[in-house]
Amino acid sequence: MATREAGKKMIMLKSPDGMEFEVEEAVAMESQTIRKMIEDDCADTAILIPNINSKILSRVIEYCNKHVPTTGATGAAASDTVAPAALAEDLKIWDAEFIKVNRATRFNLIQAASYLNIKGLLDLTSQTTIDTISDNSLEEIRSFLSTKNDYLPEEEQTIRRENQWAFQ
Amino acid sequence: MALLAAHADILACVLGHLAPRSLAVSRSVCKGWRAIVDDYRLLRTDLLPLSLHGIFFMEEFCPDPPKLFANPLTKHRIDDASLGYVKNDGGSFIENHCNGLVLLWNHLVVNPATRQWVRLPPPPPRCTGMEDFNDDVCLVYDPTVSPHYEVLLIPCVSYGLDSTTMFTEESEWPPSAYAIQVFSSRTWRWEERSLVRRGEAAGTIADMEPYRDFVHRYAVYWKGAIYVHCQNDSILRIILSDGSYEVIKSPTGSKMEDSTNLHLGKSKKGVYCTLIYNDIWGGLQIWLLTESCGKWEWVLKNDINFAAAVAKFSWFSRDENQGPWILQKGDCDENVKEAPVQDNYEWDFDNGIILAAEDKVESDDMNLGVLYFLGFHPYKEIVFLRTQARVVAYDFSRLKVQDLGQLRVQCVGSVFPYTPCWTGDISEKN
Repeated sequence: MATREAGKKMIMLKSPDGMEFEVEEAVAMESQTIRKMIEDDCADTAILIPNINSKILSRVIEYCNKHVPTTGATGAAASDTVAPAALAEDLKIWDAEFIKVNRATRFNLIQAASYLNIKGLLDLTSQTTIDTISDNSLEEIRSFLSTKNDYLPEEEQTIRRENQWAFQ
Repeated sequence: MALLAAHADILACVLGHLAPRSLAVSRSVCKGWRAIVDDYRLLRTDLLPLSLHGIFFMEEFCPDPPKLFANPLTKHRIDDASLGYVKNDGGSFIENHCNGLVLLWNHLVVNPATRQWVRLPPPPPRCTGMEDFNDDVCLVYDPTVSPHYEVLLIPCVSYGLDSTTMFTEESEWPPSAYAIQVFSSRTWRWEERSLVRRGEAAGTIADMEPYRDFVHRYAVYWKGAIYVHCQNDSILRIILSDGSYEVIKSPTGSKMEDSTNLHLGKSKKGVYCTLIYNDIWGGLQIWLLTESCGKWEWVLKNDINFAAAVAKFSWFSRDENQGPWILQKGDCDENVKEAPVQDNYEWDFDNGIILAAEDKVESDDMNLGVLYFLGFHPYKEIVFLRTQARVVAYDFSRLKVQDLGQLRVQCVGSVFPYTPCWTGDISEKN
């Protein structure tokens, strides 16, 4: 992990419930939304992150901290001792632990990843939902995601017929 | 779900990760999901290999590049059906195909729609004891499920077992356990995979005919399993995910007579095969592979004498009529440029001539030449046949025939109905 060394630019992120998080600029810039704000000079003092409470925001920062590419002296040291493949493997295991959360938290994380535009986190948080949709029947998808089927039987037949190939 | 409905952008992001097949299923979950899939244009069926464009083929014993006999009314064009842009010293010999991708000799994978091509790394040498064998090369690709593809090298019997001590002419074939080489575009490397047989072998090594129907023994990929036409007309059903395979006997239960050709293919309901009986002109059977209680059975779908169908056409009295389908050779094909372009991408096969049950023709007097099988329509119960230098579509569920036009070639070699795939990246970085 990169340590906070003197000279690294820090950014203040504020959640709507009043919590403040001081993070390295590089970590905050994992979010394309924040990167744009910084590049457009809209981030002098603190950035208010609307709609994302402190609990979720802290988890998002935790994710970005782990995933920020290591650069400079620290990065060189890391890649000298650990092979890139092992690093990637380590990150995968970390991700798997990170995403062991309840459905509500996962949904909030998807929402945050979407707003902050953090592709890796969006991929990760979406995956369980994707797996559910990919591997299960229509009824199972509906029941898992508590979605009501609002089609009339004839309507559903028509929709199916439009993409008959997918139901074979 | 009301929560998700309020966050269409987020749901669109999540659904955007789905493979096309799952996206299509998602449209049926509820109205809200369908609206998101449609509004955000997440599902691009127009880019998927779901439309029949034409028939790709090569002439047998002929160094000419591949050609495409195609529906002239399609919206998109295949710029260079001869695959002239592929840098390949050995010429463009088509070994196999799967859902819009073509595998050429020398381990080249080509997408004729996007003109993208890639050379795979050379496969590792055959494992010890297998040096005397050849390989059946199969391509496995289904972009509705995954952007990745696999190439399988499945050992097949060659002439002579000179150097091996592991096998004799009496050895079971394929062995109860053996290794095949599999290339995966996901990892971009070849990997040895073990296959263990369930049930009986196809026969002995002596039963296999090394060069039997070499160019027409195809592989079919259907619902996660690979069906390979084996050298004694049995079908190997390989399931890569659990490393197992089983042998399915041919519809007649044995190897075909020399005068009979078996062709494996995929169509509306799954895996089919045709038997063409060359000793009776026009003798044609179409079989569907079905499973019940774990047992595989061939069900006879159609058994006709094709002379009756051919007699419906008046080719002999007609002048050299070309169309309606045309031959696309390369970039500078005048016919193609002049052909009208319409939006109806799909050819209408409903306009055929209906064969009545009483249509019987004495074929003895007719000199109709060889009946070639060109392939199955990928999702309609139609087969494409060539006779009298013309291509005919035969709808075997509704007993309709339609003349698709003249195709003047000596002898058809590798041939398959082509469904272009306009999406996907087949290169290493993918």
